[in-house]
Amino acid sequence: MIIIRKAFAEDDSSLFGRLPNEIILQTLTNLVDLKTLCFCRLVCRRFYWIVVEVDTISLTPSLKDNSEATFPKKLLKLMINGFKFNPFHLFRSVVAPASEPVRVAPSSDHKSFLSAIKSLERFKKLKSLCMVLPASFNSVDSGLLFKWKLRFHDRVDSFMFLSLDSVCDTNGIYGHGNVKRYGMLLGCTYEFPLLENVSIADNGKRGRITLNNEKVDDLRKRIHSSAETIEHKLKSIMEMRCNVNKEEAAYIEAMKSDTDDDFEDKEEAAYNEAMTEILKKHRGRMVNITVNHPI
Amino acid sequence: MSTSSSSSKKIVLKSADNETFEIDEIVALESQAIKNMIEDECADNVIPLGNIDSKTLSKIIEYCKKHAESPKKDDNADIDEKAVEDLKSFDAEFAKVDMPLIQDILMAANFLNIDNLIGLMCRTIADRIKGKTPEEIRKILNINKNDLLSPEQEAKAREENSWAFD
Repeated sequence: MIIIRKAFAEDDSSLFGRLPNEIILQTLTNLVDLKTLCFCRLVCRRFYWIVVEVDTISLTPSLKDNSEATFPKKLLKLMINGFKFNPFHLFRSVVAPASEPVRVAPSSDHKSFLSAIKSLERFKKLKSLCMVLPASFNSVDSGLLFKWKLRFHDRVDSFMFLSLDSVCDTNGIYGHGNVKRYGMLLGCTYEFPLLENVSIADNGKRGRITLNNEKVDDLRKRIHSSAETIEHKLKSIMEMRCNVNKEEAAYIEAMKSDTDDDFEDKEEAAYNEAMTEILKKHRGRMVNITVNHPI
Repeated sequence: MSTSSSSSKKIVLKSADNETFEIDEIVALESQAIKNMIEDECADNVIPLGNIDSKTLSKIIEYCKKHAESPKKDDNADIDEKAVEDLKSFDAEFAKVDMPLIQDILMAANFLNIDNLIGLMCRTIADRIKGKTPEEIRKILNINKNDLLSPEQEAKAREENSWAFD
């Protein structure tokens, strides 16, 4: 016979007090927007724990992007400020050794930046990530270049997309020493072993990187493969084509290992070499972009 | 009585407040839970639903009727676009109810295992809290005061997500 439970009868009137966790998760999964998801963490105790289980997140410029100091603009600024460390330095030392170093004092902006990234990093079950870069960036750049970062640990699966426009800005790129504007976009950073889809676009949709299932998998495999040396890994990863517009080139760079100092040096050397190679490989393309830039 | 033999079988649902609803079996089959009961032959002529009131149940039947009538996606690759649109606008209208009723429908749909309806209600709630502040969300969902984070936890969570509040 049928057994009808009176499971929910005597509880209070609060909706989410009575609903099972799966239903709450399903609801929160519909939100997608990172900002709202972060707000949901504060709503109540159950939300606090359940919200980080969602697997789809989108980080897009807010609708009032025209007004000043909106979130994306601010985040963008933070991103620019935040990435003065290792990879960018190395990149610059290859690209524009004579120019002044990017120097940013750790500010409240810097803290906020870390906060935003940390917020994203909490979502360990993330499978799909979409990011549209703010419109404010479009006025600065001509051709958007994307850059990837990979992080190598023992068993690493974290990497980071960066895209920067500065490479083809103003007077060019190669050691002229007056690359004035560095716009650097952080696409995303993640340590999400379940990630399947990544899409990053600038606001005008001119530049877009999309990595789907297979490619993310492929990348992950290459990173985990212990048979290959770091140098080999880097080279093979570099040769993977990702889905970018003609205008853009994809860059991959390795980041320092957190695990072993000795290892670090080797990786750094490999990284340096890899960057040099990438730049050589794409030099023609980048020069083209520079020439076409309507200054 | 008008329909032909196979689809004319009737199921009677009885709500918590003892109201009975006679519906076509095909409509009842929208509920996976009822479907299982029927397949396992453990459904009597009358199925008592002791935790669903008549207001909620009639709403759910309204939904199931509409969806049972509509062509299913896997029926044919050549789906009638108009029917799909029609169903969409039905769903949109259906969801225009207040939060307590959404809550009741969601509870009942979960109990009866009606996936589409659960999905619709979840989306509806998400739409209503999207872009809202934590305080607004609490109000919309009528979150019980006992369920809030402790002041220390809240301060910490605020700090961790400070970028979102700027």
